Amino acid sequence: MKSRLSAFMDGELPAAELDELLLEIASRDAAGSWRYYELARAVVSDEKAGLTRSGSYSADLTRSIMQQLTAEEPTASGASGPRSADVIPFPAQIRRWGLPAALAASAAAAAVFLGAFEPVGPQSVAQNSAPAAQMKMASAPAPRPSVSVSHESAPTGLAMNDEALVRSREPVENQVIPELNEFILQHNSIASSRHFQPTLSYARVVSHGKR
Amino acid sequence: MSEAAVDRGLVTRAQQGDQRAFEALVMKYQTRVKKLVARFVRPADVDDVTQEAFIKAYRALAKFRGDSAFYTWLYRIAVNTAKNHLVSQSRRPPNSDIDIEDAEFSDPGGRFRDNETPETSIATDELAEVVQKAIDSLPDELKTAILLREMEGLSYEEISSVMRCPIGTVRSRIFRAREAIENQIKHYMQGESGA
Repeated sequence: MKSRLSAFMDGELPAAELDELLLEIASRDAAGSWRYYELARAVVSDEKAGLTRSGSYSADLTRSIMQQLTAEEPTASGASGPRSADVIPFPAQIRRWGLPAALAASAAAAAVFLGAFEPVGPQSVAQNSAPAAQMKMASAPAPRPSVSVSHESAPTGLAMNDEALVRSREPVENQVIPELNEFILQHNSIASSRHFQPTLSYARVVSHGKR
Repeated sequence: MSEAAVDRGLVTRAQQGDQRAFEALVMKYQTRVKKLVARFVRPADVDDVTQEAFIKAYRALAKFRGDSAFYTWLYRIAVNTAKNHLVSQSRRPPNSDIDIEDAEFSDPGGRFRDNETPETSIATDELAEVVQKAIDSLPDELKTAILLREMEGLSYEEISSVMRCPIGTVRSRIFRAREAIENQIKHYMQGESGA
């Protein structure tokens, strides 16, 4: 019986039936039914205000809100996402390219920054097999803005911080330019500079192998 | 008690990425948020500002720790969104906020009705008549249950006491009443669109 939506509207749904409510919402036009329920409520309580918007009755925003949220991508709603720092969502265009492209862009930006100080060796690659715990230590110091990045395997709406991101992309991270590693390890103190945080939050992560 | 627990459960699920849970919260609170927003902005902007408030709430949901009720938190976001909208329109926001209960339970001076025209008024009256007829045509036990709920604001437990039936029966009767009304309205709407 689809009575849960009705009970939910009245604030009388037992918490134990929450899962069934969500199934009910998924299985039918719950928003439409909800509006009819509200319409009846407005008529019975003689609350004409609820009827008069948009010519007939107050327009339902549920669909447009959910469509917008779906279109612009889940951002900071994930429980595992950063809680204290401001979340800077990735633009949708970047997300389309996928995570490898985003990582590559960050590494390239770091390399450009490095180029101002010393030349980068051609195509040299450092192999790194440090465990995730070490990565966490390398990325731990100084609070900084987090970047929320979507990931194919993450649940909808889940935002990942860069630490989780590193763990999930270990093979890519292991390919590190040694000079970049050395430089970053020697200049970790400037990593907290606000101007370099977006770049160095990644750069410091990829430098974890040379401690 | 149950309602707060349900809200907490929905928020937790939404924080974990379940968009249906957030959809349920939007359904439940959008009318209250609209009423609140209508106290600040022009009628033509109410829907946009309400939508923006919910989008902001979704984006900030990870930061919501449940120290207050979800609606109290949402209320603050909606007020700020409405005030920011006024500022963006080069209008001065009010100095004092609106009391949360006042915003929920009062019609803001008929601001929803500001854009009502004679045509929409007729449509509204017709719709209200359809709903009223649907209620009148309900079997007595369904009509009593829905009226006790919607007119008198009784809880299911109180209705079960008045009607001398189990709470589950009250819940079922109210749902069946709503379903019947919904069908009548749909029938009316289809007739309107076909005419």
